[in-house]
This record gives sequence, C-alpha cells and structure tokens, in this order.
Amino acid sequence: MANGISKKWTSYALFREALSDIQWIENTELHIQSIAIGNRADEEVLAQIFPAVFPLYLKSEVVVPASGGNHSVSGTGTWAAATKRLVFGAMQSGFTDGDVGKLVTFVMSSGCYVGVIASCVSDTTVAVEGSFLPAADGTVYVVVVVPTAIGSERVDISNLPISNFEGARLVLESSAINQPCEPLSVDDLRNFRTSGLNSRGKIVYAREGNSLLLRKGDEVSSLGTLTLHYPRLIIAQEADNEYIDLPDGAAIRLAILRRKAIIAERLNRELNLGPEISDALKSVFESARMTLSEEENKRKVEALT
Amino acid sequence: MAIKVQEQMARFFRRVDPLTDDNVVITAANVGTVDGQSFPAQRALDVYNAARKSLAASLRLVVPTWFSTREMSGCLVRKTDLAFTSGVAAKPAGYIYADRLTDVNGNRIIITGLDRVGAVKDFESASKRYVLDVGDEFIAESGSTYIPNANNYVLWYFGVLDWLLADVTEGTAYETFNEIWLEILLEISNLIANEAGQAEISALTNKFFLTLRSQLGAANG
Repeated sequence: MANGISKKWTSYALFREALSDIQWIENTELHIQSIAIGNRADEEVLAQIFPAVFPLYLKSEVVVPASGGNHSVSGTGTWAAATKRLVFGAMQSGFTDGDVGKLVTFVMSSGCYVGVIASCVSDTTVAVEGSFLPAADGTVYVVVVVPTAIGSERVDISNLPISNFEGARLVLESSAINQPCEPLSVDDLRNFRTSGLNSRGKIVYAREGNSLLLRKGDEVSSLGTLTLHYPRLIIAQEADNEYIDLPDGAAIRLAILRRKAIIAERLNRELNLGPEISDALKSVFESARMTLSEEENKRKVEALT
Repeated sequence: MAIKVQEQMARFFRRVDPLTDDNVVITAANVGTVDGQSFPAQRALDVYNAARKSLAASLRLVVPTWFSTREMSGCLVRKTDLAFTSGVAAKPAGYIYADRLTDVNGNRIIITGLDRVGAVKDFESASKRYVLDVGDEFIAESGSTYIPNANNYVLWYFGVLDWLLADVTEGTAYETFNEIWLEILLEISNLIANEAGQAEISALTNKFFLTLRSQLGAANG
C-alpha cells in the first residue's frame, strides 16, 4: 500500500466523484485509467499549491559521503570514442548511478586518461566526459574510479525522491556544527576558503546533478553525521483503495476539479472549471496564511484547466 | 403499461394495410393469421422487426447512454451465465450493445473497441480488466490471466430479438421497448414500409429524442 497524506480520500473515491459530477458512465475505459488519471491530477495540483503545503512533504534522511573507490580486478574492457562509453565487465563492484560525477582514470595502450562519469548506462558501462579522452576505440586495461571529486566530498542523492516543485529547497544539517550547512553554487564551493575567518567553522555544500558536493572549514574536524531535509515527491497510487497524497481540505476540491478537467477532455466535453479552481486555489493558500496575487492565481488556474 | 406484440402489429396493419383481400379488417383477433392486401403477415412482421432494430441502432447513435439506459430499460437484458473460456465469450443472440459486464462478484470489466487498446492495455490488472468487442465475441487479450474461465459472468446489454409470427398470434408476448417508443416504432415501420433509409430513421429518432430531452430537462446531459 502506498498510502499518502489524506486520511479520507482514496484514489478511486475521488475519481468516482469527478466522473459523477460530469456524467457517470458505467462502461468506459476511464475506469481502467482511473489510477493514472488520479496520479497525474494529484501531481499537477501539488505543483501549483506546493508553496502552501510543502511542510507536509518534508522528509529527513541521513546521507553519507561517498567512500571507497572502485577499480577493475581482471581482464580488459573497451573504449568507444564516438559514444564515449567505457565498458568493463570485471569491476570490483558494478557501476551504479552513485558513480555519476566521480573521476575515472583508465589505461589504454595509447596512454592514461582522466574523465568524469557522466551517466551510468549499466553495471558494466558508463558514459565519460572530459577534454582529453582517447580519440580512437581501443582496449582498456585498468580502470580506477576515484571516490570523491577534486577538493570536495560527494554525497550521492540519486536515490532520494527529492521534489523540484516551485518553492522546494534542501536543508543540510551536520552533527559537527551548530548551524545548518550553508548552500552555495558550485563555483562558490570551489572557491571556498577553508581557513577564512568567516568560513573555517562552516560546512558548505552545492548541488551538482544528483550529488551534493561538500567542503568544511579548517576548524571543523569532520563532516559529522549529515542529515538532509528535503521535500519529497508525491507518492503515486497503485491501487484504488490507497489514500491519495494530498492534504484533506481545500486541496481535495482541487484534486476533484483537476480530475474533472482531465475526464472532460477525454470525453470531449467542455466544462468551465476556471472560477471553481480559482476559488479552491485561494482557499489552499489562505489556509496556509498566504496570499496569491491575481496574476499568480490566473497562471495556476490555466495550468489546472 | 406494456403492450402486447399482437396489439402493436394490429395497430401497424391499421396504418399501412388495414384490410385483407376479402376486405376483412385486420385486428388483434386475426393479426398474424391473415395477410393484408399489400403485406403478407410475415412481411409485415419483418418490417416491424426491422423497425425495432433500426430504432435500437439509432438510439445507440444519437442519444447519451444515461438516456437509453433509462428509457430503453425494457430492452435491457441481464445475462448471468456468460461463459469465458480462454478469454473468449460469445455474445448473446439479439445483442445490440453492452451497458455493463462484471464477474460474479460484481467487479467491473470494461468492454471496449479494438481502436482503444492503446488507452487501456498498459493499465490492465486484476482489478482493471477489459475485453474487446470483436464480431460475435468478447475477447480478453490476456486470455484467462485476468478473466478466468467461468460461466457466471454477468452481462447487462441491450438486446432486441426478432418476434415470430407465433408471438403475434398467441397474444402472450409483450413488446420490450418502453412505452414512449411504441408510437415511434410504428412510425419507423411506416417509413420502412415506404422504403425509407436509415438516415431518415435516425433523423426521426433524433428529433424525437430532442423533444423528449427538452421535456425531461437537460440536467443529465
């Protein structure tokens, strides 16, 4: 069961309400699509109301900087120059998404090369980026994956369901310092002076793709236990009887209205849902003691109709 | 108040061919056993049966499901012994179109067309089942995976079986079309007797439906 935040409304109950409001049809493929329609509607609703409800979606996870590199243990691999793919079957452990962003060095008869793993294609294949990679295909004799990026620690967050909705932000805490770690751009992280007066007691981080890059000031003995607070993705429903992942109240009205809009579109029916959606949006934001400008409201209504 | 097929046929003869060759008036008492001057008894019944099929087809085309379900309830048939074997079931005789298909526990199975497979196939599961309406059969693409072999599936469908002359002469069979359609059935029979086509019949049905809807109110569609 992938139950969400609601304590009252299941996926199918909302679909039933929406279909009844338009026109109940007993024998329609919409019944088969109900979960897909619901998941789409809920995600689209949450995208519009996220700033008002995001505390409900916060989640904490202890994250650990990448440790222990990886290397080839026997045999040989191949390099494909056109696709920049490095294939090596006999690694100490297979490649994973967590390797993305790590340095990789490999040895061919033409020389020794360094690059950054751009993506993990499979447990034996990675795509590599870099400026001086081999221009011709060839046999790879040795591969070494370096566990951390140059000058910083790296935390793999590819497995965390982090939301990127408007207003979503990460907070990183460390047991080693008393204040939250400070978010920086990647450029600023590279320029971080570990001995600076204002920086030697800090831990700073920057998000780079699916990784967090970390550095610490000279007075911080270790990174400590790192806890990442992040807004999670909405939980998709998989069965009719699962509770949806939206808060009860005004958001439910929006969830029904969005379902109605999708159903009406599929039934070639025209509904004027704009005023109702506008009211419901205002209710959601007012219940969070926030106000929506007319322009924002209009933009959100257009996104949901 | 339902009307007997016998009476309905007598009304039809009164409109198009009221006398026999011997100038005997065709009434409920002799309808089906005597021929009219232009229409033998069997031909008149064939025309009337064709009118019933035409009306059902027109209703399918021009009116919303909610309307036909309520206002054609007399033609709604509940079959509780539909048999699926290896994902295939034969449609019952007289089948026009389905309103609902369930297993014996009342769990819904959607009936859809071949052109809609893309809209349902990826969502199919034990609780989201569908069958295709193909020819004389319902076909589950997944065989018996989600629709196990059984002979107790429940099909609600609109069915129109032809009346036989015996149904007319015996005077025990009742017309299954609801009361509101009895007059239009005779009008359609008239049109067919005068060699009108389906387009004219559909136009007449549509006009009749629009009139009915304005009386019932448009709240339901």
